[in-house]
Amino acid sequence: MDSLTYFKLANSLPELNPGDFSQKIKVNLLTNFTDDILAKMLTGAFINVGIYPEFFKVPYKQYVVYLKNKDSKLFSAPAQVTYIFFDISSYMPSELAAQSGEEFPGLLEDIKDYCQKQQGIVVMNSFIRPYVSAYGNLYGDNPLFNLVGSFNDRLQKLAAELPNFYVFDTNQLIHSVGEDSARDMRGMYAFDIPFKTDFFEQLTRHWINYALNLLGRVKKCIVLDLDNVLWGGVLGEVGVDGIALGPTYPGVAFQNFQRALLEYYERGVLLAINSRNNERDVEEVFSQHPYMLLKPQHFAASRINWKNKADNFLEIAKELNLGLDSMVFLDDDPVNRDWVRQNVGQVLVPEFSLEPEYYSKTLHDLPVFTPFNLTAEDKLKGQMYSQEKRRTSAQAASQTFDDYLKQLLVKLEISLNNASQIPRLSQMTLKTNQFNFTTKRYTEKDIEKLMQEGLVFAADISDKFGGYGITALAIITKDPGKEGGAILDSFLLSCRVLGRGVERSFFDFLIGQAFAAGFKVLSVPFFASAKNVPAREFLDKLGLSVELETNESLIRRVVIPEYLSNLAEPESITINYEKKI
Amino acid sequence: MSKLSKIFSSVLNIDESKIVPELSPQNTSSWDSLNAIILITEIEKVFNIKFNYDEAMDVKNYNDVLVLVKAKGGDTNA
Repeated sequence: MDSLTYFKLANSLPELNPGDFSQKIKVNLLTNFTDDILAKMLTGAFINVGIYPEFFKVPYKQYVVYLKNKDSKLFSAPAQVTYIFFDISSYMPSELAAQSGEEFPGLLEDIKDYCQKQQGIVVMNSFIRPYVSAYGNLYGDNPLFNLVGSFNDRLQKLAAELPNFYVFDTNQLIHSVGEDSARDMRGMYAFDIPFKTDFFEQLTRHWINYALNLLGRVKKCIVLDLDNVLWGGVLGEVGVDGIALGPTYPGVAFQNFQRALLEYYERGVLLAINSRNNERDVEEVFSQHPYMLLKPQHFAASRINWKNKADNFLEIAKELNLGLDSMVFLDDDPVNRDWVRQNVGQVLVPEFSLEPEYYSKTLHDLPVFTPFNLTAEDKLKGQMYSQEKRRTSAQAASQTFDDYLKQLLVKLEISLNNASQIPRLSQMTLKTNQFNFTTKRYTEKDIEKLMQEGLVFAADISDKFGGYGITALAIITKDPGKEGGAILDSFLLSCRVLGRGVERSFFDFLIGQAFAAGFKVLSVPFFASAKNVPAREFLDKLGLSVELETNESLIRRVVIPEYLSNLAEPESITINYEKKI
Repeated sequence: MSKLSKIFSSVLNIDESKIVPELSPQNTSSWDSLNAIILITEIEKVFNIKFNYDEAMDVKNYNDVLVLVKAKGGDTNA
């Protein structure tokens, strides 16, 4: 996508109807330079991914006033995402860096106040290290260099302190494109636009990734071709001993690409194979090749066959319970890429006709995976999917599904309003699409607030093959309009735990808890999304009465005492609940 | 559409048929100071040329741009 396309899309904004967009976002923008071009670029980038943006931009050079005045429009404009970018350079003096940065701690306090008053997330760019100055190469002697270093340290500390504050590493981006291609000297002096349009475009791509995450549109799975992707050469022609993989070029490039993929696996991105090959040959590579870093257990799903790759994609999506739009496909063959783009267009297919030494960099340059902090569940996820493959084989061997469930020894450890789980619970609301009644997205601050005002139940689920971590979440709030009434604000389960009776046990448990909390009626709203058909199917099976049904929304009703009196005891699932007050 | 008229059409949000030598900030409301900067940077990028500040500020209409780009060695027919 080039900058001209973004400008053109941004120009079309006044003619667009917000109602035509399935997703909208409120954005606040705060900088210390002329940011109209950046704002325009960002507008085009959001429209380009089908999100209707509403901006509040702090007027030029007003950022201190707007941050200091807690009644300013900045504080009163509720934004899902706020982007902050303050530039300091050795070319132009900045009030931020004046008097050895004395103003900065105060400004940081104001930013902290702002974060605490905002429900959305705040993304702030780290300060750019001054790469050139009168001090030559002696960075340690350059006061500005040291100042920027200490500012950035403070930002990191603030990020550790505040759940909704994130630091975007600007230096990483500058490092990648080079300061010369990022800075615009004429723009800086003539218009106070210190960056080139191309740099804004790159920055925009990274920035909107935060918003895409908030809206549940993150990539979760890398699907790989094998020949000339994981190793060099065509396995079917050259055999296990003939493929390029090992300590010398080009094998070392392939080996390091495998290492990079392992890092993605470690941070919770799933790996899968979609390759035209003989499965026996590939098994041989896995079991015999001394330099294979990736092992069969790292792959959540595999399709190694001679069928068409688009059909394989549909199968992989079904097996992993993932949407096609959460997948990235890496294949060196342009024909395969084209076929996949045409037939399963939601899959992201980057250009990959490259020398193998560029594979890792190309993957790293895709800003499509989550920029957020890792949770323990992320790190475990790849492993859990591979346990799922073993579970499926246990299912094949056992007689009936009920028997199978009993053998599985499914266990739910449920907790209520447990503050230590807040990061994971927020992440679940952001990422769960298919089994989600209301698809409400919550930041960590939102969850914190809900814990104070309502009942937030989370279940840590395990079975005999291993643990899934916290994978079920339900939020019950008081219904202000109804005596003894409550609302099931959110009910969601991670797809990897579905199909074991867990969803029913968890739901029944909630009704019991709502009763214990003194509620008589529970309203169960359901908002249809493009993806939550599985949740709807489950809801329909519960056979609840209808409270309200319109085109847009559906509310079912549980009369609690009646529901509990008809409840059958679940046989195969153990629930442990420790109520902590 | 020539490269130059494509830039003007996209940045100023006007139909290509409206792009005539007399097109100017006076008769085109979207040719404001922000879009003037965007026009300069996009033209420089697409034609791989560089204007200095005075050259860019002296531009009064589309015809001036054509002359300037040609003088810098840019192919305005491309």
